[in-house]
Amino acid sequence: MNPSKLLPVVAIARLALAGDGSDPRRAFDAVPGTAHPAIAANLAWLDMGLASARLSAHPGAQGVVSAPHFQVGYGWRVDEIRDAFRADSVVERLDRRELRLATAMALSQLGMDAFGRDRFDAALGFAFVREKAESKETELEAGRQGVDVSIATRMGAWRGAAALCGAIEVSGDSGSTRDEKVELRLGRIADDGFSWGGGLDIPVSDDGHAGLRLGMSREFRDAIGFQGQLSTSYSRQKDPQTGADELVRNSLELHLGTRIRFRPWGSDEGDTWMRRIVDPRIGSAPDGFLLRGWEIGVSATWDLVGGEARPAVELSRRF
Amino acid sequence: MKTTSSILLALSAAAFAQNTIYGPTGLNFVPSAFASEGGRWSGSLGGTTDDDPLWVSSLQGRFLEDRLEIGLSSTAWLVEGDSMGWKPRTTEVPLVPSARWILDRENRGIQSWGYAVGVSMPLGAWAAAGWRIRLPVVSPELHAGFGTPLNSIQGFGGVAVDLCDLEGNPLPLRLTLDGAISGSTGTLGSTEEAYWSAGVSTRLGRNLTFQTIHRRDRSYAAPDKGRRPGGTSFLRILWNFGSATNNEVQR
Repeated sequence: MNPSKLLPVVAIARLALAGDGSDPRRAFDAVPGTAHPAIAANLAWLDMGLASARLSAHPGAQGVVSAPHFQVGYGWRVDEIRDAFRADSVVERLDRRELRLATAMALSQLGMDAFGRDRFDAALGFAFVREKAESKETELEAGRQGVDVSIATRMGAWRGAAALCGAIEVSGDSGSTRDEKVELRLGRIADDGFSWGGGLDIPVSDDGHAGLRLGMSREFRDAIGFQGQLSTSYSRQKDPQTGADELVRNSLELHLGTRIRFRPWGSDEGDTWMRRIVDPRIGSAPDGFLLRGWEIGVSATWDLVGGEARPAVELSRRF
Repeated sequence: MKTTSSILLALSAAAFAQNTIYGPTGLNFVPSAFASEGGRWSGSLGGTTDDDPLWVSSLQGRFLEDRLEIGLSSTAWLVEGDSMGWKPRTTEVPLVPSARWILDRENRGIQSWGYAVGVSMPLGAWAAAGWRIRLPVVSPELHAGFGTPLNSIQGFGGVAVDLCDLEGNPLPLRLTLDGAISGSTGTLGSTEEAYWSAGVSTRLGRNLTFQTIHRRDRSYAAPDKGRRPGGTSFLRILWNFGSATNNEVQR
């Protein structure tokens, strides 16, 4: 391979695997606002299926289907890569695609629930991830296939998880680099529908990205949700002018979203006006409202440094 | 000392009715997820403290067990961009309409949760969630939300702290801190409301509240009036009257 072509390939591969800071789904599994588990091990505790389609002004699109023990997702988006030392300069546009297949199993499901499932449980998960990135400027491509390994625990209202991303590399284009990192999550789900959590991303390699996330979510009447998340990521980069290694902030983002889930209104919940929103009786269909079982969500992510906003809309169906 | 305590207790019995400069009940500039705790009708009048004062006024009313709030304000934007630069958009009298609907409120012991949606300027259509806890010394509340007037998307939030006596009764002093960030989805005529502000409110009587606010906007690369690099300060009088309606929205 011509060395002059190798360098851009290396750059693309590294950038492609490091750019997850703006994906709100890579948040907490402890926060119910992210309905689809981002860490595979949490799939073990799903009790129903959820299929979602999401369109973002990033631009990007994502489709995810999660069911107990299994998840399949496919996403596409365009990332603008900026010079870390000049926030207003876009140096690269990457067309990224990701296929993700995940599975998980919990100890309690194997009969090992000595403490009682509600008091303590642990799960092990695997996610096969196939990533591909293409530069819009140079049309060069880089890709990799790998397996993420994760564990998750639950102890009463507390949730914890750890994932080693890029634990096993199945294949990778020559010149591409692995972006190994450890994701740590800790959160709590309260009985009143409020949940909160925090997360750390710890890079395994010197040039990886470190990240910090804080988030909350509140569910009203098991139908209307509101969520917020603040995230930032840092990496060690060489200053082009001084040549010194510096810890540079790559992103600082705020994510806010809300959604409504149309569900059957229980007879013990009273005939309040909220029923007319959550479970409107329209027409003479035997199951009532046509949208029963569907979720509609809107959200936006703000780049707090650049001032850019990226709205998104999501449609989901429970099954 | 006894007289002072009596005055404080009397003022504590009257709750704050605090409307934002943009109209809806809230903190300084951003709306909250809770209904106002004062009388059914409220209004405000104030202005900036600089040499060329910008006058702000508003009127509000609450209906349907406080779920619905309808208001008029004289301020649509404090920073709006067009081909001439950044400038405030206000009217002489309150003409800019706003509406808010309290979707839900849950009281669980000393905590309260609220969720509201509304339409007001400069946020456009918005949704917000709020949390409040009553403690003996201070009673904080947090609000966060986002809205869009189509040509931009704004995220907003803030915190208000009511100082209390040692038994959790609010004293007539409230501190507020709020802010918003705007991301433009258009290129011309876009709102760029990106700011933070701090305010202090104190009740002057059962129906009157005095408020002072200082606001700092993002520095724009446009040398005109809307930039205000040193920030803007407001002084306002707020009043509420009419019978206090049911402040606890029923589930």
